[in-house]
Amino acid sequence: MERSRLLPLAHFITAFLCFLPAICLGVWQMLMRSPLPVPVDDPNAYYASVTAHGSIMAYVFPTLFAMGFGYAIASSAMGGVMRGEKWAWVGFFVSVVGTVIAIVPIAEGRSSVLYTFYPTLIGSPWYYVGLVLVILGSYFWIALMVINMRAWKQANPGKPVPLALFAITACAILWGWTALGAAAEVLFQILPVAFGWRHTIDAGLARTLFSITLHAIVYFWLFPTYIAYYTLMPQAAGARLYSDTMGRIAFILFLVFSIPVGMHHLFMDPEHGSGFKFVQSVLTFMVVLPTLLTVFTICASLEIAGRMRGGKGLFGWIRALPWGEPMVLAVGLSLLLLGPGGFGGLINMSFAMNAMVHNTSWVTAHFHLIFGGAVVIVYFAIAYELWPRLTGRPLVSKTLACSQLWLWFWGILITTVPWHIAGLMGQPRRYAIFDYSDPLVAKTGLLTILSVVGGIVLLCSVILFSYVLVRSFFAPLAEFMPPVRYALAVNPPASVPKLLNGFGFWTIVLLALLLISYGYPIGQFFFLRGQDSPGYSLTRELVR
Amino acid sequence: MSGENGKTWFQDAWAFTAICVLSGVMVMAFGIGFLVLPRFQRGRGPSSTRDAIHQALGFHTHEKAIGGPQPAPRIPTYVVWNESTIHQALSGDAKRGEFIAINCVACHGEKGMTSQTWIPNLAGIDPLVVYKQLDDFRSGTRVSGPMSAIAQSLTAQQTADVAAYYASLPGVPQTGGGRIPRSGRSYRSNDATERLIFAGDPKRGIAGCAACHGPGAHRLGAPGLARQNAAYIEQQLHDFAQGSRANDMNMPMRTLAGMLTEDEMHAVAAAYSSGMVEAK
Amino acid sequence: MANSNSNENVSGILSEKVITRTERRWFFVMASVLGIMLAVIVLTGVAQMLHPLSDVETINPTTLHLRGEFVENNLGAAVEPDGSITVRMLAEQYMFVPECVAIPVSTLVHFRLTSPDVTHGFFVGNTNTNAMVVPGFITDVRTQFEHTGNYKMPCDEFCGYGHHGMAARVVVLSKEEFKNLRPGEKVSCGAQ
Repeated sequence: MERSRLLPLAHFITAFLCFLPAICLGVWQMLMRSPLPVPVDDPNAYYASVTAHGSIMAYVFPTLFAMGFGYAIASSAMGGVMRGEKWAWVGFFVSVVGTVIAIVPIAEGRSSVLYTFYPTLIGSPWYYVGLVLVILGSYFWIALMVINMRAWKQANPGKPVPLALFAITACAILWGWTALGAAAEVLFQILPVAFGWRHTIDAGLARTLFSITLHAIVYFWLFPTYIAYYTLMPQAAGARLYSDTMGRIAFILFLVFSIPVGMHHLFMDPEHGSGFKFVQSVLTFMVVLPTLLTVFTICASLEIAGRMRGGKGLFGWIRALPWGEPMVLAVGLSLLLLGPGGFGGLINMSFAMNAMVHNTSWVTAHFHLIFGGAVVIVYFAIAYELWPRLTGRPLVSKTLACSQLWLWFWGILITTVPWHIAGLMGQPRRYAIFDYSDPLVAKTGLLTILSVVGGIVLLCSVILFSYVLVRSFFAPLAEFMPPVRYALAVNPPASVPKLLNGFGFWTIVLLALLLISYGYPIGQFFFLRGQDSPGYSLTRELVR
Repeated sequence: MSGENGKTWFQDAWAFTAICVLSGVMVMAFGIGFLVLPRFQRGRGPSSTRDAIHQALGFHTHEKAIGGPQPAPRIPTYVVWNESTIHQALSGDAKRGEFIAINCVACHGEKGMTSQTWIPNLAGIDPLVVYKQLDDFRSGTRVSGPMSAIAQSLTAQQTADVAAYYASLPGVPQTGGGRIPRSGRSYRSNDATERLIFAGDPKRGIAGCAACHGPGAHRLGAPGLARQNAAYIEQQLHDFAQGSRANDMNMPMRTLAGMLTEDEMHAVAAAYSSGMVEAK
Repeated sequence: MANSNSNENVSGILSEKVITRTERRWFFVMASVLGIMLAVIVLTGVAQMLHPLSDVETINPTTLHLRGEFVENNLGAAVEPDGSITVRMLAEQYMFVPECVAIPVSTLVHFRLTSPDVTHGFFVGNTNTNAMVVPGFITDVRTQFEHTGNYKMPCDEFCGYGHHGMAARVVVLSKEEFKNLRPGEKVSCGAQ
């Protein structure tokens, strides 16, 4: 197999190899929280499991997936061979080694700090070292995306960068800036305490630095899905993208507005004043805009596809769409999940409503719906789309693939809808066990059982997904496998404005917004006095 | 920052529009967030622009009247868990401690394990715990006939030495470190005592004892309880509940013990001392 | 959204002019919707005086038991000269101290909490009193309870292995019942 195909393939395989056990842990966790009997019902095991599940699902899986997808896009844009492949492999191995280093202390029960690792709770230093390495590997990817886009522009002067390459590079740049928040927290605050070089830590500063990453990371996860919306789905549906320009604008809006909004995760925190909480609230409204614009553009593209296939009337085009195509089906289901998921997000970002749901199960249900649902369902479809091109073998069955996507869709709904309701009934999050003999808690018992059922459906879906990919891997080689084709716009532009074809200007805007929205909130910690606290470990790591 | 064909930002249409819109949004956001919203507060709100901005930045501008005269603080312990105290408490010399501990054998046993069950075993106890309790005996925040006089005769360094010595003996297992997860440690368990120890009772707001006292968990200042003497544990729980023992920093034990029944105190003490509750 | 094909209809499906017009229209509709939502937030802030926590107060978490407003005999519900109530509590691993407080209905209440160890959260069930407690900082939440009753106040941020067992109780009494409480009972919830 060509090296350039092996690279994205290695990333995808590793990502999904981590994904499957994390899903299993998720099902066990849901059982623990329910009234049902479950083996090894030990709260300590639960918190270790949540740390593992969260770290894999938030840091390892989506990062490796985005890296693989980016390399696939870059190679196809550069005529089959991307620049700097050797370095890409270095980055891959750094990330994989980091994953292994991080998982070991979690499995030993010595780092049950959860994937948000809020100080002053401190876990084993090797957990944090592992995470730093996972992120460090992705920085090789960031550099290579920028280098490859620049190389493409040099080879094609004056032409618009293909939307897929444009968007994945925006994704990389976004990730590069936002990861610095958590990296600063880990490198300058947590690791010195975890290793025993320093003894106190400013918990408020740590939470603030982490908030720089905490929101923008979800847009990092979202980019591959939206890239599929814009560039893969219209092609799979046999039609065109409604507006290439709008795609560029949407991705630029994400790049600029994803980061300076993190303080909406700190609404209920005592270490910031209401002024900056409001400013970042306003910016959060700005970052909702590109999703709303995307929904219109993508639905319009779907409508074009439906009508080209003969659909008539106000809604007849929906039925006419090729729902047997995994990519089309995934995007359709994703849009359906994006609705309630996005709506939940609007509630969370409105401070007064957030006060009612903060840190209840509503929050956990929300991000499982929008990330596990709307975003990951398209990850599956991207894998189905790229797998034949990367392996040279056709997908074993599109019907099986579509069944898997339907299973995932229903699994997500069955898991998260009762979970949302439990949150509204006051169920706190991050609880290992609930005392269902308490009549107030008993009201949420049936809801958690429903979520268990949903979790099992999701597990079946992932097993089916793995089966389809593994079977396809061993299918006979196709005689000819056409390369990935990205959708054309309805009216493909011969040239686009310079500001829609590069990121220099927008990076400066991004940094300016970051400085304006976070400058004082972070700077204040260096003038406050008396708030530094000792670190605390759940397993006597820190007392030496 | 150049736009199309080397134009500066205010000549490129896209850049100009973007900067104008952004500036407008930011001015509006800062204006509302710092000048308008802070003025609308329940009770007394800021009266001037400067105060509104201070309020929005989080400056503690308004006065907090404290109701009535402030009582003199009731001090539970003079120990402060800062770096220097922890460092001193952990830098004892076990050899010197063994020599000092000759005086302790009569009550606490030769190897720090005693069959006089109303007296605590000291072997294996976290040195920070021993250090703090001796310091509390010395300062009078914890009272016990013989111990107060004994503690007063020890210096801080000797206290650390004794603590180091007892920590080095096998006996009560250390609290920290992971534990191998096992079934039966949630509210599903039929054994009420096991439930209380590992899962707690959220109806009363009681966390499981194991979350602080182990096995498999660590809280600064909380002693391990596995293989500790049952009568001693039970007596301490009584004393915390009644308030006659009151040296727990920030009142965790008085709060919790006050919610336990007599039977529960007895059962929990028996379960821990019998070694039923050990990390495998 | 001009590009060099602004009037052309390259694929024969739709002209770029139509596409640009529809996209622009949608853009303004969506921006207006978001603007309205933002206006509602500002209006609730102004009319109902609903704001996020704002005072940034620091405190040394290792000496709470020695000095300052969180010493153990200053915890619980205190009546201020202006009639409002200040409830001081500690959030620590794994309980709130005091684990039960009594307060009067329809009276302004300040909850003031801090932590001597790790980050906790608290929310009073069925109300919007919900905040984080970060060691080194004091959380000050102002609110008013309009209904009497017993409220559960669980910890809602992961604080360690005992997180799921950590909960306090807030007992809201009528003003008469509260006035009849003896000082010690304000802290220990005499009326059950």
